Amino acid sequence: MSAPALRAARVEPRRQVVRAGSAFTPLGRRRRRLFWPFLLPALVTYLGFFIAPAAASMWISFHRWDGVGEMSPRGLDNYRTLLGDSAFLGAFVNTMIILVLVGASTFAMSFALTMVLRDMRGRRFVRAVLFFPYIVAPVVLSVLWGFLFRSPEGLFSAAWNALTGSPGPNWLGEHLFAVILVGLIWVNTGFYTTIIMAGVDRIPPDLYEDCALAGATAWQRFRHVTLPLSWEVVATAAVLWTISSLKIFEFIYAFGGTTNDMPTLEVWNSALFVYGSTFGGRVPQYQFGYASASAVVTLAAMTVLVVLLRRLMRREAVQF
Amino acid sequence: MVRYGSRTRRLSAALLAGALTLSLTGCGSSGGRDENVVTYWSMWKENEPQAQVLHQTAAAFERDTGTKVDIQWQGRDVLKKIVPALRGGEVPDLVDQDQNLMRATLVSSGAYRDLTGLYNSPVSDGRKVSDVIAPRYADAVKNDGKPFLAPYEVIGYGLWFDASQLPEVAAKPPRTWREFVELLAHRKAAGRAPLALDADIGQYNNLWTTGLLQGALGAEQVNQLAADHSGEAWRRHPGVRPVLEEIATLVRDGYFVPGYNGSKWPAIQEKWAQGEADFLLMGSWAPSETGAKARPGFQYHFAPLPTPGDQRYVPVESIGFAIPARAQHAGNAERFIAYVLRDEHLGKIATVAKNLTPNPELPAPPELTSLAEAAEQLHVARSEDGIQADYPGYTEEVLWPVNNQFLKGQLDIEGFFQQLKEKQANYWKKKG
Amino acid sequence: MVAERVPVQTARSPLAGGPRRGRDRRRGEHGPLRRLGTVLVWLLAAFNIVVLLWMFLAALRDHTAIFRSPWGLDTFGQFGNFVKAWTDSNFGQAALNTVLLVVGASVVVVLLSAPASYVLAKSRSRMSGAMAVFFAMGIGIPVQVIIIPLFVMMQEVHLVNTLTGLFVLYVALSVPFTVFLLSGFFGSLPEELEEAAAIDGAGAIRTFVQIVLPLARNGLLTALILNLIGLWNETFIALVFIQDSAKQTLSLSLLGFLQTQQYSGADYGTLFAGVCILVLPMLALYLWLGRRIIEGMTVGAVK
Repeated sequence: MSAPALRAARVEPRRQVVRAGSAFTPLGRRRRRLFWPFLLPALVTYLGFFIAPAAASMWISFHRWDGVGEMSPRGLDNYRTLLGDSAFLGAFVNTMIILVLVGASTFAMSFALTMVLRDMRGRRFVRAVLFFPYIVAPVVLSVLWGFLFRSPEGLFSAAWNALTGSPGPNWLGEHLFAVILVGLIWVNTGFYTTIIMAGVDRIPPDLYEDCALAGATAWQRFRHVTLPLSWEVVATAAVLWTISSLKIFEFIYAFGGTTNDMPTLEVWNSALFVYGSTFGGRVPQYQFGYASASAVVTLAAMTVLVVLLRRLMRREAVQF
Repeated sequence: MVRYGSRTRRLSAALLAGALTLSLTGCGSSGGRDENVVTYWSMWKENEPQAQVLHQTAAAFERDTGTKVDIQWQGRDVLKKIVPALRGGEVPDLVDQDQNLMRATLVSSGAYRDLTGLYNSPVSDGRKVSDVIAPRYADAVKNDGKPFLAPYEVIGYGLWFDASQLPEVAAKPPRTWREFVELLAHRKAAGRAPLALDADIGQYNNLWTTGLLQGALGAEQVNQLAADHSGEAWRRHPGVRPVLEEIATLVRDGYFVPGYNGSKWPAIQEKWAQGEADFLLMGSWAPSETGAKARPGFQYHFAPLPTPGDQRYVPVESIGFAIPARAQHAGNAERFIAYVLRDEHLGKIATVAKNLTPNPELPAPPELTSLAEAAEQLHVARSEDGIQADYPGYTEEVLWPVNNQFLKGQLDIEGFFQQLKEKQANYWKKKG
Repeated sequence: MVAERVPVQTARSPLAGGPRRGRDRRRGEHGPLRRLGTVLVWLLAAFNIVVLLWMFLAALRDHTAIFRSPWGLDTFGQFGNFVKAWTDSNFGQAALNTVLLVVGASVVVVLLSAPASYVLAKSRSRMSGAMAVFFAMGIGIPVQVIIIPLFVMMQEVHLVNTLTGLFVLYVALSVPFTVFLLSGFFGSLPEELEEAAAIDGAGAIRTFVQIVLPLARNGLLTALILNLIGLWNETFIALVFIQDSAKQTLSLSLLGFLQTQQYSGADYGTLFAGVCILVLPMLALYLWLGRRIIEGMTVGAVK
């Protein structure tokens, strides 16, 4: 491993960080004056149309409310009930499984793809193609998933049969959640590959040349150059994933039978639980107080996770 | 690069101008209060046959009375738009949906208009509204004795099959459970798949379970079981287990078409419409939903579901009009409803939209004559025994997830009771 | 120093040619693992292409045939599906509404978020850090939860059932993600140019408009396109807030159209045609500007 190269990569950034962080340069002072005028329009919009109703929801979460009549206060009862509600707990666990399992797999896939794509012919084309599922409507994806995984005559089951000689598992009937997880990994890999690849692409190639000269293995290269130098990107992407994985909805919802049907309870995540407790299902429940409480709990858990994640992933910024 | 940049700039300028125009033209929806008007939010989309019937009726209504019906074709989610508006926004004068949904929204929040007056008002030829809606349908759409819905279309549930393939069954449908099971065994022995079921849809699975339980225990009994806060009632009731055993036998003996438990709707009902399976337990939308693409020569025929019990019911539900309590032109809306219920208009729900009407005097469409007869002769019950309407969320969170596994053969009867108990106790705990 | 560094930065900026120098050499290392990886990557890409192709092919096939042989090609050429989907779903009016609405909202949200993201990214005070987290939190709040208070609010200001109201909501609800994305982007921009501008005596706002924004062009474009894609498909808010058929958006029309599959006759060929009509503009946009999205994201995430 070429030490000088890394050291060189580290020295310069320090200087830069110090400079940027200083509020006492003319630039820093001017920016401070700009802070509020620049921030306010977005902040006001955000506060008015997002935080205000969210705060109202927080208030509602301490009540029983059907959205139409008068609210009746319930104190902490909604929260107490939630912690014993198997439907909510199941959904919450699923949310966590999605967060961790899909997240880890997606990032692993994305790194692997980045490594392979890095010096492959047609990389741009491939990368563009990997992004596709992000654009296509989830309804289509789930209908397609149905044709792929249905048993016994689905394409996937047929392939399984050809390989092992047995009809294989009943994917949609018994392993629907696993199928959904695979689908989520597939959809998200394109998006996060694009981000991570972007970070990795900024690493100066001479570092890799130094590695080659020093006789580093592929793993060492990854461990000592790629990972540390793209760390910031990965950390940002991880936060983005953590927050947005909360809201994954359409892809799972589309596995319900018709457009009016929720998918079966076992595959609900928190977002589906919120929907199922309010507008969803053949005959909606309209429990806005309870649903708000569930959202508050999920969001709180997620905030803790994001803070932990940021602390965990905080490293000295390596600029280059 | 530079050229690109300028193009983007020009593009964004154009977009900005567009956005500006948009914000200028978007305003101003609250028009004047014209008294000769009814605003109607419909559950149908413009090109559906029911929409065409209602549209023509509205035009005729305007010609006859001078009152304009302002229709917005909102589609099935119409009530999702009403709920937020109920709290003080502008509500339409007239809205339509399935009775269960109406009960869970307008009725449960007390925001419906009591239609007693409407039921006593004249339709035509000296008949009142209550004369043209059969009591068996009208009785099911009351809350504390006050009607909240005026049905114009009736959905019935039962077995559907191709009479051209099974003429002897059409001539003499199985009446008892034994006859039915023998028929199934016979068909299976002949190399046929007797039963079609899209088992990814909770409601379709439950048509079997609740349908058979209704016959064995009597109407409204499943509803009682669901109301038990401990969830133990299912296991305790002596009549439940034998019925579940019958279902488990159907599953175990492979009467359901292969792949029924591993596919995605509407794959299996497609197979059925192509003649690859014999019977489909489904609502009376089956002919219209599959009809356009069914196997040539398919003759839709209905038979009530035979059950292991003494009684046979035809589970039904109505689709109809309701009026929000705060409607501005409720009087006009009632007059329009009465107008729709006239024979010459309501009849088109049967002839054009191919559905059953709540008026037994009107001829049923040919696909549904067998259903109309059955509804006339047998008792009617609420579909899924009314649990959807009475306990919102119960089916999604309690019964369906358990019953889905049971119908797919992934859960035995003991497991069925156990899971149902846990989920039901959980459900009532949070409702309580 | 400044003059020297800048060109280097721009030259290396996204993908343009970053690793090119090393690439020829590295091509030499073809381990078996790498070859396997390459094969797998192509398989994955092929799968995605097949998915897309399958959707377009199915849109031109007959309903029954799709179910009989999902992977076949028989009955291909049912162009009537597209006609039927277009007329049955009322896409015409909805398309106009959607284009104006979505494009307008995406542009405005970027214009609104850019200055905020800039100061959040560049001034490293405690306040700005907290603010950044505060904005990011908004990404995680499910809209179903705030919909009722939101509705009550919008009713107060008479913006229910207006495209203006929907426009305002789309802008407001897109702010958190856009600020998150853009602040990452601005954080990665070099300081030197701004310093030079400051030394030259350019005002702060002029520096932002004339120097920073052009530098951030790719990031802004990325934010714009990701918002376009997101809002283009947005259904739930539109469903609750739009009541007149004439004000419907495309996704609403599609939803209504999908729902008519139940009860009134399922026709998956036409259904796919409808979906294609909705997806195609986004796909075209992506193919046209795709490289820029990727470049924008690249730098955007590098904080």
